[in-house]
Amino acid sequence: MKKLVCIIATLVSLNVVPHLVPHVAAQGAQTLRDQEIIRELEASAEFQEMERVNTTSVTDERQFKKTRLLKVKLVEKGTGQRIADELGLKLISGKKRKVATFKVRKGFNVEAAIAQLEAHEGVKKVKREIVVNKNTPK
Amino acid sequence: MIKHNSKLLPLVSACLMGIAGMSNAQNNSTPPYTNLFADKTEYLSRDKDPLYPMQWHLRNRGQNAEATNGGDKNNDIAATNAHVKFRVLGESVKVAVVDSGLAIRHEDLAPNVLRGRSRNYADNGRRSTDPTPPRSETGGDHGTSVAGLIAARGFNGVGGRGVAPLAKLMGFNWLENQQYEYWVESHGGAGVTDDALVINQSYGFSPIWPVNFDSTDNLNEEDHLEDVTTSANNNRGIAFVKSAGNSFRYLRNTAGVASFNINRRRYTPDFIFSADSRDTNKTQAESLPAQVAATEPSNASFYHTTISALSAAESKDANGNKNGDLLSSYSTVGSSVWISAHGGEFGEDDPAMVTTDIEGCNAGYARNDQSTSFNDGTHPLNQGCNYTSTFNGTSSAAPVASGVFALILDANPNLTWRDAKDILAKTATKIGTNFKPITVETGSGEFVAEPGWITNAADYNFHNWYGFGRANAAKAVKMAKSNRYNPLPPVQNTGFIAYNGGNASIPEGPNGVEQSLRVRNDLTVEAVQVKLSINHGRDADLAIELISPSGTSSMMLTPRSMLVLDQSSRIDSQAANALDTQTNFNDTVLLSNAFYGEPAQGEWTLKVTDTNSGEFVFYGYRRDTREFTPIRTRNNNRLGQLTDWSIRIYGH
Repeated sequence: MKKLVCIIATLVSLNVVPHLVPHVAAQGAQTLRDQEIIRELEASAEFQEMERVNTTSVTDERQFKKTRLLKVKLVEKGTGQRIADELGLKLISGKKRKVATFKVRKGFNVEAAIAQLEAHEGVKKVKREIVVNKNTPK
Repeated sequence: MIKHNSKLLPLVSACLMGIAGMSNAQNNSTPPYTNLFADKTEYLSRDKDPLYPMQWHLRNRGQNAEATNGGDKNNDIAATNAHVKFRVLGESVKVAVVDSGLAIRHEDLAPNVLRGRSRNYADNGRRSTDPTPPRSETGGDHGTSVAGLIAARGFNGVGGRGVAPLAKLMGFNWLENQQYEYWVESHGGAGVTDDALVINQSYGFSPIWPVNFDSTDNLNEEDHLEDVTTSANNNRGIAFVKSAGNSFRYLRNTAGVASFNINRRRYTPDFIFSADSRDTNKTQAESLPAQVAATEPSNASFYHTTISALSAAESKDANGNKNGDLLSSYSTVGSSVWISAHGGEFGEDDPAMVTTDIEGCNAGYARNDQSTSFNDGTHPLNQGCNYTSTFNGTSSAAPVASGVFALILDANPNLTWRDAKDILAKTATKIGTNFKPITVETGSGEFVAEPGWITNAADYNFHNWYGFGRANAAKAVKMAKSNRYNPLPPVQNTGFIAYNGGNASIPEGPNGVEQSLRVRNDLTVEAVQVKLSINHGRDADLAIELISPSGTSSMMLTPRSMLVLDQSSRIDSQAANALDTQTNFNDTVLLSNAFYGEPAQGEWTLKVTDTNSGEFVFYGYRRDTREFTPIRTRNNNRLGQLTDWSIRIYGH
């Protein structure tokens, strides 16, 4: 196979093949292009990262790890700290904002905290954090 | 209580003035860092840093850095004068590297690493202060190589040199455990990274769908960034420097979210390649990118400075003429790019970056079984395998730019992160001037999909591939030190100003649909965001342009992008839920820097074009088979609808 590619590459580079068998030349050029982009893909940090987690396909690499963080849209700006104090949660970010992130302290039930937040009049929407590790080295 | 003897005050005052005068006199006669290098000859000496002569991004003399081909002379960031003439080495600036890890005891990093200031998030969140990767890391440690480009210690007789060779480093291996709590901590979090002036983010993700900017995930991040960029470091803020991405040719099918119906079978690719990437008749200079930078929401954020990557040499056309393409073959591009810096190629045919690697020949990019002589432990300058000559990516371009940020902020302690950005734009070098616009056939006429260089009404040159151009450290430092530089007034934004004229159909063909709205705020533009909602059967057909009151047009979304989730036959619901996917544009935000310096006031026009009325093909690729599979899609059977849009202008 390698020899075939080399022969085609040589013929293509010498501009000989197109006059003889155009489709062979085109196929050879396509093979070379594909080899180049596969080589570059496999040399990329992103690809190596995927290999590092030792998976054969992206479908096996999922983590979908649920954390104790709850991301919340608030009815009123700047109410995050008050709601956190009220419900015994730790405010991670959004003190002055209309979105905030709370952490459910260890020993407390996350589902119960979600239910409390959903029932709270100052809260519009609650989403529990699911970590996907979607960011990769670039 | 201390009693003053008023009679002695004049004498004390005179003494103090004398001491100050002596101090100034010393400063005038002895330039800083003469203990490190006395002059340019000594600065350039191999003895100072043995690998420095290979580091073409700092000083490009056409060297090949162990690749087959050399680069273009002077295609570099002009670091020499910044260091030698202006004597700025980044010493006062702390840089946080948010990445996969940081080998804090590496021989060429340790002198610049701040003790006890790094974090390890991988070890069940126990947060030790050592993010050194395991020695078994055969693929290399990305963060260690990134850090070397920013601040490998200069003039210490080992390794190479960072762009800011005395800047201080902290490492955060957030990529190993991407919880939001750790994100906050490592991105300007109080008491952890809020004293960093630069935070390097050589990471990203490549969505194949138009992301909702108003998701709780994204709004949390935006709010945090707005807070720290205005309040941290006594209001100097933090420069968040972000790699644009490596998806000019392909995107990852993140978490296998999309599957396609191929010959009645479910096909889930690992990667999705554009048609242009496999087209043997097209060079990169004739190709459109698979990913537009701003489709990743952090690249559409005002608070990130997005960097594209450059090669060591400009490409040539069939006749041997330079064709305007200095872009690295992989670099994501788009109107949200601010400037470009070097990321190189792959280090075999064409030069990659020379930087630090995990120490030892059992681990890292450089290790015993590698194919290049520099990386396999046999090269006389790398027998310990502590360095690599094959590092690349916008992952490299971002830290090179971070290094320049550090130099600017070191040169003048009164500058904010926005001033540093402003200086980078004002001093960047226009490159690739032979670039020709790229067109696509719509089925009823040609459409200019990538216009190339434009000059806006404030006289800035801008290109979606290069931003304002290639970073120039010497000019940037010179401007930063100049008394004539006027720092920017505080930032303001208009909030999102909505178009209220109702829906519009998007016709097939090159003419598109246009709608306009008026902005009344009297601001000078720094960046413009467009928030869009569009229902369309094939997102990849769409081109989105914004035209300013001054008549400048910016192509904010080039067509033939791999926004192809809407073409999948099955979307994995678990992945979709975790990733917040959507198949239409729904509160999707794009950002353009092309209007920098123009007046905000006046009529802004949005143009949306459906550029393809025929079949559209792209390719899936799986790692197990190493084969490309064509995915053929039909044209949308209904005209698309622009349902909602608004713009937000940041400026002063």
